[in-house]
Amino acid sequence: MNSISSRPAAVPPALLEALRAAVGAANVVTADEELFVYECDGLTLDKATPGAVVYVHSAMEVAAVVKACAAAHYPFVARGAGTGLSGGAIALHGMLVIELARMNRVLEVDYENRVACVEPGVINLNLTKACAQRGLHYAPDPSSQGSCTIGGNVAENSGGPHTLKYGVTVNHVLGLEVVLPNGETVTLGGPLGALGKLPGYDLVGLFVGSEGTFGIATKVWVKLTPVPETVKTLLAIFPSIEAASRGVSRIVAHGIVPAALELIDKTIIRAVEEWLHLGFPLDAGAVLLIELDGLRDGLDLIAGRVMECCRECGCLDVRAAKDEKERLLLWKARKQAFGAVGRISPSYYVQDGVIPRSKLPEVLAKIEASGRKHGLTTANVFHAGDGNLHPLILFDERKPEQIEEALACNEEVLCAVIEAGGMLSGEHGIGIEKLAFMPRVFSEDDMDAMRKVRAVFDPQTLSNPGKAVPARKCFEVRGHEPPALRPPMRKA
Amino acid sequence: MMTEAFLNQLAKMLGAEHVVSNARMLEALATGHAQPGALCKPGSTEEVAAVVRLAGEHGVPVLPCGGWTAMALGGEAPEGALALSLQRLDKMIAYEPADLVATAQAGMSFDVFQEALFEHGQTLPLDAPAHATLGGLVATDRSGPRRLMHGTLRDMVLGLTVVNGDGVVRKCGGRVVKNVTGYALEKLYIGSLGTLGIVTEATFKLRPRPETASVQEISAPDFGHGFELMRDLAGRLPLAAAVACFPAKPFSAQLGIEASPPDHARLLKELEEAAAKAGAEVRETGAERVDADEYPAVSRRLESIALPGGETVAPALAARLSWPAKPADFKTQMDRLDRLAAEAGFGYLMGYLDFPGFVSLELFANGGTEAPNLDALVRALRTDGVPATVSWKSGAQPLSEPVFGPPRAEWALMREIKKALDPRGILNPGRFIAGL
Repeated sequence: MNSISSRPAAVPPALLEALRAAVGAANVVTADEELFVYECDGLTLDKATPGAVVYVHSAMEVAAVVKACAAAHYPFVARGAGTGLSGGAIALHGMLVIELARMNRVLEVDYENRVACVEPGVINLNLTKACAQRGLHYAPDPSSQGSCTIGGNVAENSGGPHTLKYGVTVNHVLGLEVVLPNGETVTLGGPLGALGKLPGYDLVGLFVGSEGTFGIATKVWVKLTPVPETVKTLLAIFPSIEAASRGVSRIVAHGIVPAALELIDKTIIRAVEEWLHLGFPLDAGAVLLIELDGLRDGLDLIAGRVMECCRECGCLDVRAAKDEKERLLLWKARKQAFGAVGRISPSYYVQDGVIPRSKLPEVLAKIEASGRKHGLTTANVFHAGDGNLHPLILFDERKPEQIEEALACNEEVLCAVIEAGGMLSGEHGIGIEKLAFMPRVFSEDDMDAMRKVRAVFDPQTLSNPGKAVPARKCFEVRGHEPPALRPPMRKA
Repeated sequence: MMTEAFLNQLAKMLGAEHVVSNARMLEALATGHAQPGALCKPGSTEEVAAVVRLAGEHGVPVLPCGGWTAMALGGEAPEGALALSLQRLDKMIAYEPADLVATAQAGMSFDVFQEALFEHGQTLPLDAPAHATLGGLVATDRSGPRRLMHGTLRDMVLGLTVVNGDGVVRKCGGRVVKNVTGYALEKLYIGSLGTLGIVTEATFKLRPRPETASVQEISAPDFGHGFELMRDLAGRLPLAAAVACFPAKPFSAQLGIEASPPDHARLLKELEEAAAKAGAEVRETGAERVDADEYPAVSRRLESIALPGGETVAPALAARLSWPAKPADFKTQMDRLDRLAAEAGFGYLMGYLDFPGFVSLELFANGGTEAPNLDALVRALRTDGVPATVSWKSGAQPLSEPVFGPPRAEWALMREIKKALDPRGILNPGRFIAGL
């Protein structure tokens, strides 16, 4: 276990008093045994205990809390459900955690204009449930959609399997109400901006994915998407991962944009099958989970072309889900895949690199070769249609030499991604996890612009410092030293 | 200041043939704005950066330009600026059809780019003038009715190379279709009118060309029925576009359909059934796209208009205003617009609504001796809470109201971002919101 900052500096008593005045004493948590719950997010191997946790119930309370922090020059981090995978919600340096889960109301749904206004603590799936009976849904669907919040999705610009066709969070966020790190509240875009872009810089697009470093969103205007008329889900079985990845490239090259196009390799198939017994073929090298949706009359035509693409790449068999029950089973297998890996390996390291889709066969071969070279198993379950890799490097953290091998393998995989023209993260974010690698894809000048823009929103560097973009080497605020620049490990 | 020494250095840097200071040619470039002091044509991103650094040292404002299709947008350009044309940066840099991603230089024109994509059955699904450049489209965030189906440039731009006001070349985003590596600075430049940086390269996410695409024109006897029909269709069917034009009588609107052949046939049938119920007619125009700038059906009808005395004149477009509005609010706004426009001395107006809610209003002079008062109309609209932007006006009309308006609280942040990325304030000064 890595404890990033051991025991943080205590929150100044005057600040605690101001917080209690702002939200009520019952909503300010300082007891060690309660703070323990907040010491990490979905990146569980890196831990840091917050100085305190504050539960907020309204935008006004958020503003009051942030104002108190700004006056005391004390750093803070907003937190939704804590499902993030890159350590974005970890309270480095004893930061104050502002928990938004209680701000969970859907404020307005405008069906004609297909826009909803929600509070940041609304759970992703609950928004879809709220508008389902009118034939609409909220399209971005991270695997954690049953627990992650819209506010967290905004901070991370979250993706999900169906973002291949429908786009990621930023493509669905039209306006924001934001509490800036100085405590001021400002509206970016919406509600009118929800209809068409208002003149000015696209601060909404900039804010989405800023990992909580520009302030805290307290209201989010999102686009709602009509539920497709028809859905068809196929499972294509391939003899090897190489053949399956050629199948993906071929489908994309044919100008077919499925709703989702996921690749699951043999290691994952076995792990999932042994656990859930869904009837996946154990002798397959890899499978593609392909979902097509749209208008009903043309869908069979497109499905036929997809099958042809698969066959041309050596596909052994294509099965179609007979009904909704079978379709949900296939998706269960996909969404439970990471959990299943825990059954076959004590630890794993997962990456989120994203590459041009035509480079899939080449990069997947390099990942496998790198694993073999280091005596480690690699497994793959990922958003193949987007080129968004999630290679898992399996190891045993009780064996120090395996940690070294895993780190070396990780480095090689990353190099392969960058060489192929790819980027570090497709949907998990940089957080603290990938900070050290940012200089590999951006020049000092590029990052300089990012820091300058951040300083516009947060001149005191109080809002989630130490995340997203590495601090300038010479730039250190006393007491807020940047985190160690090394890749943390993930425990299964 | 644009001194002789500055021009000499510029000529040395780019070659004399790429610097134009001939008064007659520059006059032709003025397009209603102040005349630039010189025009230069750098041939690479590095040359653009060198020019911006030189201009910064001499305090010369820089006016980036592409295909000259949207130069009338924005506030007045300063007198004696250096126009910087990107026309020599017109190459495709990387196009891998199998990735549905293409990177091109900013000076490449939209039609040349599209032509290259069409060869592989792909497209950048944007309504834009053929001769606009890719960089210009990004800088003005150009879009049309098809935004309903495909979104706008913020959904299509994956990465950019820009030269900021400090003359430094910077990259943002990437060449992959999904990316959360660092801040999404590329979003800032889309629609920034070149005030933060000059785009020199852009990477776009492409779409397969639809197998069947058509534009259907709908005619209804009156506005009320036609408008309700459009609301129903746009809400119910997955149509690529919906443009209502009025108060032309009879009511006319255009709908784009993009689908596979069997789906196209079925949508058309449903469309015809709904139209028949509303007493409207459907006719295929043969066009492949609905273009916000063309509105062909209405343009045809407006080739001449009859004045009260029985005389017919060719109408002269005086100004174009635009703003977002919900369809329901839009109806109320239109009821007042007729009167407000008449009070301000305009003879005729046409409004378009791209569903789900972007209004574009065209104002025509009445042909009389007294010039219409655009300023009064814009003020009246904004007093009513209509956030109208003057997206185009004919040269002569004075306008004391800002082009982009009304101000919003977030402009304070935008001013600071401008300072951060263009510290000397030399990129397109005075032409964007808040005098940026």
